[in-house]
Amino acid sequence: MNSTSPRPWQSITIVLIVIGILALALGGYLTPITRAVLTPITPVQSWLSTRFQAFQTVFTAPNDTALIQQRNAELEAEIARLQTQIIELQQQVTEVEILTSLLDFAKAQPENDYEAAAVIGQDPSPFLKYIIINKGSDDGLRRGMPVVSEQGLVGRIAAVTANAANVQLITDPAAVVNVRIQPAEVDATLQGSITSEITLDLIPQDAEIQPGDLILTSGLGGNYPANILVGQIASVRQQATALFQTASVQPVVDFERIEIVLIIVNFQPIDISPLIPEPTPVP
Amino acid sequence: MATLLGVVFMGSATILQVTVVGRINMLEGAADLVLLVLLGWVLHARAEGVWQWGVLAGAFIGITSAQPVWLPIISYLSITAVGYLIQTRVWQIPLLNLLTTTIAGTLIIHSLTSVYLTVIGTPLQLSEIFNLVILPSIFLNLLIALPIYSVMTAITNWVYPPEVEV
Repeated sequence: MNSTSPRPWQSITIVLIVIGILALALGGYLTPITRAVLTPITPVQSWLSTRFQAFQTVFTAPNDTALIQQRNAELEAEIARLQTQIIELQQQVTEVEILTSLLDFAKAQPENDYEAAAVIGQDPSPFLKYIIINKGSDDGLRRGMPVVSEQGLVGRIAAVTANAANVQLITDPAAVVNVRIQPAEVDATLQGSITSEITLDLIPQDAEIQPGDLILTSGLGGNYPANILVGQIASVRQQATALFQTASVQPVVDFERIEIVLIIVNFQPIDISPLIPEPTPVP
Repeated sequence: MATLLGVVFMGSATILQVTVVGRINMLEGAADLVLLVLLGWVLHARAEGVWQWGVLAGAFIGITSAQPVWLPIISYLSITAVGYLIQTRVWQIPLLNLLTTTIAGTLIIHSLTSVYLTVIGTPLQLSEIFNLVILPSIFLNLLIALPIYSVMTAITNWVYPPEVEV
């Protein structure tokens, strides 16, 4: 009996102490004590937590890296696909712009029938200024047909196969075009060169021409229709001792960047060579 | 086999020349991929069918160009002859052979073309031809001659594996 009698008092005392502590805690009287105890513990807890997270990262990193790499590869593939799409769309926009310009050009000259063709190559010889287009005799193209762009005169068809054609540019050294200078209303001949520069020749000495004058086809000779824009006079060379003036010409067509051309399919070139008298030999 | 390869390689080289290489210009000159592929084949001792390759090169260029077909055929056959002669009779130094035949080949092609154009009445000036076409073309051809030759060497070794001494 003696050994068990103090226990209820101990238990009651402990319960009362606990209730007292709880009551003090609920009343906020233990806050300074709690703060004083927790203040040195918090940094230790932070230090331990940081180290634990570092260890956790080390052990879980391989899975995350693989996932990130996979995701990165997916995103890179997506970027590449989108970049390709952007390039394709930009090309389509450029093509539409060119085609719109060509359509405007065709509408402005309704008397002509046009066939559009893409430039697919150029002559392998640097001496010859020719381009190759992707339309041929199957599309109704014939030798001698004039070729234009939305800017102006490009050249004429020199040779035709079933699905392709060779176009002699007006910059070719062997190309000669009869032109008219505006507003002077003077006829001249346009001559290409090996440097792709085009020059005007056979301009009468008394003709009043100046830089900026427009050059249009005259239609003489029957090789080209009249009134197709060729370019502008860049500079005039006049010598008192020469029979004619000459001028260098800035073409309106950028022959380096030409992509799509129009062929005037209803124009029939006229071969006037039989009408040109041959020189008779002097006896 | 050699002729079949010639059709494939010369056809491909001509397409590349017309669409890509010919548009990369220095002044008025351009590299001649067909010439370099032809030389890359001719300058290998084990290569066969070099004359067929010469004819094919000329024919492909003649078909795509505005010049008459016989002119490039003659040009490329002449180059084949020069390359064959140098390779078999003169030197056995591949690099020297390549550089010499590249210069000679460029000169042959452009000289024959300019002579033909002059004969048919195209106004050309000798100084312009040399300064603006021939010299830049030689430079561009020399620039890409070595890579093309390396590729052709690999192809020749693949077609005609070198004999191994036991």
